[in-house]
Amino acid sequence: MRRRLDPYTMILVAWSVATSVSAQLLLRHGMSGLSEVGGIELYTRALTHWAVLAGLLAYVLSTVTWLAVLSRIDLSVAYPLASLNYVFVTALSGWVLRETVPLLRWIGTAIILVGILVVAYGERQSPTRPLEKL
Amino acid sequence: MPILVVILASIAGAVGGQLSLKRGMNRVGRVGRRSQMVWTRGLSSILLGLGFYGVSTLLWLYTLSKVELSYAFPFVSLSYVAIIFGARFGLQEQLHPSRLLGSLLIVTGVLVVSLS
Repeated sequence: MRRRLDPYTMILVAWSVATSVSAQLLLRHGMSGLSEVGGIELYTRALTHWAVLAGLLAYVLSTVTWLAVLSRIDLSVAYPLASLNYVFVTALSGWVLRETVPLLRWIGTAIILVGILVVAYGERQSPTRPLEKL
Repeated sequence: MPILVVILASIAGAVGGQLSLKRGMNRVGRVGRRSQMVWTRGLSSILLGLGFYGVSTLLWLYTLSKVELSYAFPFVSLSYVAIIFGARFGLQEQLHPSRLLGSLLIVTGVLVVSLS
């Protein structure tokens, strides 16, 4: 059974990806301050650091939202759409964090974005569009 | 163990995890307003999927501690191909042309990103 990609599901995908990216940034921020700590102390310090805790919470949110996404659309649609992750990360590091992003990475990210749009556009079409039409 | 084996195991774990999570949610039912979900029906597959995912993440972290990201990243593109095959033959999903073309573009994009 094929279901159309409705706006509500698209919002769920975006939310799942946004929380996942936030989780990665928060965890990296939290752990980077602990690079000199080792052993058991690393874990106790990490698990009481606000950014690490917020990052873990964001991961839980992202996973729960992802389960909701999977309940609503096929995996062969949801998985490609999740690569929005790379688009967010590249855009964030380039425009917000002001890191130098190589041109080739912009080009690759743009190709990924086109792929996402192709998948999403296809799912917005009639739900019964047959395979033979191509 | 050669790092290549660890990378491939990490990718396989991520793909297996997604397939298992999807299988679980297919049994649970659609999440949304006025939906009738039965969490117990899909719980074992969901837990298995989360387990796969955890192992895959640990293997990936191990990989990144041994080799450069630019070496490991191209292998991520394999996961899109594996998901397509898994969804088709494991979950009986229909591979509409837009899904194949879109995934192919994403694979290309990931490979281009990994060149940079």
